[in-house]
Amino acid sequence: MSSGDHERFAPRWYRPRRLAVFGVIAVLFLLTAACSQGIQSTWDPIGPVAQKQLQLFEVLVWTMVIVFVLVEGALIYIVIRYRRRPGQPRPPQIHGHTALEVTWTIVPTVLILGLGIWSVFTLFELDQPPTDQGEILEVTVTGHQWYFEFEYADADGNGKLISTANDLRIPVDRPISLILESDDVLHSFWVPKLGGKVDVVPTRQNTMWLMADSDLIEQQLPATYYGQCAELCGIAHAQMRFRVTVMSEEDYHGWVREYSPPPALTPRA
Amino acid sequence: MRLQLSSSESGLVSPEVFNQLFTMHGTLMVFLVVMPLSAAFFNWLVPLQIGARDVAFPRLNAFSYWLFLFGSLLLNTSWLVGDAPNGGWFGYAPNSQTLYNPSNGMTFWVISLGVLGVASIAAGLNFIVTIINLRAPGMTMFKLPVFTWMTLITSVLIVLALPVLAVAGIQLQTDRLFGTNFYNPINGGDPVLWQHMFWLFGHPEVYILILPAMGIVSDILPVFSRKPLFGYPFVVFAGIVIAFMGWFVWSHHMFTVGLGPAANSAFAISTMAIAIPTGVKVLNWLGTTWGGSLRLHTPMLFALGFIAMFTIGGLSGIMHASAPSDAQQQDTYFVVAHFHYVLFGGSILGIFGGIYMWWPKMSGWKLSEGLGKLNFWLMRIGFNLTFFPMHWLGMDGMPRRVYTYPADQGWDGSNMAATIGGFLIAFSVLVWVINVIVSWRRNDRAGADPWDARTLEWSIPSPPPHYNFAEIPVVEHRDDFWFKKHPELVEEYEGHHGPRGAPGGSTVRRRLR
Repeated sequence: MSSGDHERFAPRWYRPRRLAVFGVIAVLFLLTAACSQGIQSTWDPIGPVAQKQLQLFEVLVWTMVIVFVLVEGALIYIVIRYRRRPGQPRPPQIHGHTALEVTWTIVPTVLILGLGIWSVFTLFELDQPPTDQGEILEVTVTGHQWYFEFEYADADGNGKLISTANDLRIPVDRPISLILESDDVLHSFWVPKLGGKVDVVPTRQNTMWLMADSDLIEQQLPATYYGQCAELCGIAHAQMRFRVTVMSEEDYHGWVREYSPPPALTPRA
Repeated sequence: MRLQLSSSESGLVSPEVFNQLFTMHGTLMVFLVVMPLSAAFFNWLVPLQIGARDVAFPRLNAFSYWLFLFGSLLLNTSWLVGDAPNGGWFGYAPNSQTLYNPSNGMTFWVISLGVLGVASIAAGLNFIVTIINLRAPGMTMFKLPVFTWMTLITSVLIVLALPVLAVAGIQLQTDRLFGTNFYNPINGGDPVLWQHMFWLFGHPEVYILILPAMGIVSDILPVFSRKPLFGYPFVVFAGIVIAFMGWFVWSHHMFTVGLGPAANSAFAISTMAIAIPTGVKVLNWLGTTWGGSLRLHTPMLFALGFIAMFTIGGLSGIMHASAPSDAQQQDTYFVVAHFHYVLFGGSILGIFGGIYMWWPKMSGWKLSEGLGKLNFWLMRIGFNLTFFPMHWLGMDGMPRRVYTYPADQGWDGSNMAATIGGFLIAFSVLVWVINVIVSWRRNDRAGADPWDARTLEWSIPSPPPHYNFAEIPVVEHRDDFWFKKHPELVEEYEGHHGPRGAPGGSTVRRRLR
């Protein structure tokens, strides 16, 4: 029979108030999240790729928050309202409702389809760099254990070759087309402020584009942001961090002009 | 791991050891915790729920167990030789290959997983045959308890998915030992092939991890709401659909590999689509409790906690499903938050609910309710404290699998909170252990049916005799034991049902003799 001696009331201390408190804490967490201003964060993007990705993310978050409130709210309501009271008879043994099942299958399907189609459009939109936003600058990124090498094959338009380590300098308001290669294992090239990551895979050449938008950058140029390798690549994976410096067009050309390769190492005689 | 990460630039643990720690944590939790705990329930509970004396192949079952034990010991021997696997639980090539990983750790990994895989496949085959063939007379498929249904579905997934891992593992190991070039880029192999193979196994694997717990929750909720599972056929079909669709989504783990927008779009849509049957299950669980008479005993707390936490994990999963959004989240702590919400907040909470629910049946004595509730609340609070901050750590730029992080990022506070939460979780498990010891000594006898439950296992003594049923029952209804106890409810039930048990149904009554 029913576990009579266990049919005590649950003591008040763990009543739904607790769940409500948890809900409040959760919301506070969410709010504090939006306040981060790190130079390696995905919030407050400084380029159109990151901005579009963040917009999509925010739509998803708010949709999911609404679903969360509905589902968790229903759960809290149920736990309060339908708690067994002493002497309560057996409840009506309802075990289904076809119309309800159909409704709550179709409505999420429509919602999901909408979010899915939006995602697909954004995917294709972000696939290729814009051709009307200034001359595309091409940089080859090579992942090594454990640093990123940046090679500008044509830094000044006259075939000047520049090669840096962990130091990506880009002019503002110009699309940067990145060709990603690996010298050894998998790495992943990620500058959160500028855009989502793309993996650096041996045997392949992956491509991506990023752009720094002067309308979105709050600081004075040159401004420095951080990127980090985002695919386990061995012992020093955690140290594989690099800087991205966004400069004005003039400053960028100045840097290119003044750049001279480090002296070549000569073997001792 | 959490101690090392609790503050920035900590030197507590070296990167060599840290890489071993997170590799083994993932591998152990998946293969040596959640899968075996689920298998324990399959082994022990399924024959009881279908009215059988044992599984179809008891010797194969024993083989499966001992092979599992051997595989577990083999994997953990790697610690003793100072060479635990360190390439992540997913072993991505070429990092896992000999050139970059010359020590024996990854060899331990591949061979142990192969052994464990055979054990799982054997068990999967056993349970498929058991459930199809050994059901008590009258127990048609749509009278099975949902846990048994989920066992059947999971067993099919195991039998199909584990071989993929075995093949990929053998190929990786021949690369490592004999110089083949399946995944070795230097001689024309393709590291992306490893990812495809691993995730073709890996994604069905996560449904292997969650479906049993969903089955447990589907069996707990009706008992403690004192009404039947809402939408039983829909819950069962949703499980089948999830398992089927789970084969079409694997590349969502590879959105950043550079497969191109067309492939990424296809997998984004298919991944989002899986949210639908999952949502159907959650809504049916809410429907079960709605209008019920809820008894908030420990098993019920865990089941409700599952719904609450798994929902959060499912919602963050939908965020990952959108490939452009995922480009920022992939390989960050946001993903870590997502999968812990579904695997811990889901599978582990569900399994603990099952432990508290069926413990009296298994042992003959009851676990303490007070300690059970303490276990639940500590676990739930600790879990949320650990994993909720990881959502914004990820969005704030913290990547995964890093043994440390810089001090200037502002990540210290959240990481410290996560570490404190981790200790709370550990403490909550200790509370469970104490519960077992204290309750064993108290020996509060449970009797056959301490919860006033619905399914066949509660109709026999606690603990069950080793032949399970003295007399094989003849089954007339779903939740047959409940209707044997309350025959006055039979008419109400049959009045709702048309032929073949369609819900919301017709006025045709069908008396089953």
